[in-house]
Amino acid sequence: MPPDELQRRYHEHETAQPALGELWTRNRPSLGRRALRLVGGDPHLADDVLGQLALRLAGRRAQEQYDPNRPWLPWVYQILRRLSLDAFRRLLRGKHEQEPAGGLDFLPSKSPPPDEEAEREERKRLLREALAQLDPHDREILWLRFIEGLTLQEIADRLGISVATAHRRVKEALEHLRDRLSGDHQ
Amino acid sequence: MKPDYDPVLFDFAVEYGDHPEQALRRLQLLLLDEQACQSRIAFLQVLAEMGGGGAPLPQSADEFRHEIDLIAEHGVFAARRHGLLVPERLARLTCTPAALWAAHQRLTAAAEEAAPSRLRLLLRPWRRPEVLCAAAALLFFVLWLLRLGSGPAPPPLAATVIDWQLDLGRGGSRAPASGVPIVHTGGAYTVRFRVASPRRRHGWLFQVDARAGHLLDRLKVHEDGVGVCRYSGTFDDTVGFEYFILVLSESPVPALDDEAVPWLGAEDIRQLQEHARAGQDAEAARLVETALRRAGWRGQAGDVRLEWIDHRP
Repeated sequence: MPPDELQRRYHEHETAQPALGELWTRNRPSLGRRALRLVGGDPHLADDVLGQLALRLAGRRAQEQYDPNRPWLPWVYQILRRLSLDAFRRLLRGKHEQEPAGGLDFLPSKSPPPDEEAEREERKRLLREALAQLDPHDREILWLRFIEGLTLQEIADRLGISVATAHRRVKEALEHLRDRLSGDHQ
Repeated sequence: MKPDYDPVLFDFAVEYGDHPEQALRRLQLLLLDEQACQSRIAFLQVLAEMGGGGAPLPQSADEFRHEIDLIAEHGVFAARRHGLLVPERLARLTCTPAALWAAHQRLTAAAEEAAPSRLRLLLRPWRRPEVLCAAAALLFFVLWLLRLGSGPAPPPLAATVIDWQLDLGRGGSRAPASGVPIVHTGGAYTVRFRVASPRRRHGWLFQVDARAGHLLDRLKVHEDGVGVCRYSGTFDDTVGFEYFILVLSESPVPALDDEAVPWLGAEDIRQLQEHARAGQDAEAARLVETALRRAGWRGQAGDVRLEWIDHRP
């Protein structure tokens, strides 16, 4: 069956599941490779993400919201990428956090594309403000660390402080920035 | 949409020292998430501006092409399993805007370039009872789907040269425009290639100057699967361009074991000089591959790596 027809059938409620089975079979190798790449080569995490993907694709809402006039695989890749992002966020925040196990909306954006230049400038303005509010010594430490690329030992030598203090101040400065920027965005 | 500052504002080297797995997860998240990646770049740019001059931000991703290849083709976790990770290099990558953006693009390229339009995917908590009931039924179907494949096996690591290093001590410099190392007669050097490949167990490192070629070292594969070729010496008085050529193979190639490099003729050597002078990397690589095939080598394009330097009096 040609891909166009399979895609159309995936969109139709009565034929969605057999069509998905066929689409999945045909695309399983590339989906597996894609998942593995997106999760950094961790096969177990790739399996998890693929399982979640299958669950979502089998959902009626996904089938309804899929536009059969558009290629199926790139659309699925986007979902896979989003699921990979969420998998890493969950891992970083701890496994106790509830998984966003369903209720996905796959909505073609009706709004015009965002003004990327304006977004970039706004992002910089917020960062500039947050950095300006830092203690100048902390700002200097961040500059030495991220722009000059000094090691903690080199920073300690340069500023006449211990390595442990340099370590602590880098971490604290980043925490302050994160707090300030999160506040700005709430 | 609000950026997630968790992967944006972190110190990879420090975190890797404390929790390597977490650091790699944060790095992968940073590279996957376009907003996070752009925010990190903006952070570095603003920090550099506020520093008032001083060290400029590196503008080229070229220096990190091996790390980017590694991230895009095999993934950071697989690289760590195979002992290919150099945390200090990844730390520098996270501070180099051009490299960050290049890595992001490589990692997400195929999905994005084929995307038909901007789609929005929103995650919401799964709370509605009817959705939960439907999911139970769907699970049978999902389990059936998953039986269709036995899970994604990690792709075999191709012959990927993850890094090459030329240590010139204090005697070398780089051409300002091309970045090509400039060396001088009598200067001491150490050259090293590290290779990741479980299948390519054979390898040779050659040096080809304006007069002749020399076999410098044969690949030694360590227990962790990483192969190394290494040579230390001093530059003789043959000025011109010098190539370091790494050749990998799955099977032995007796002709390549000859230290005098007979597989590369005088005309080949002359043409290699021309190609280096003209900056024709691809032509030089093609020439070397053709010569290797004549000698019985049956590898692929990725199994040969050329690096060249400018040897001046």
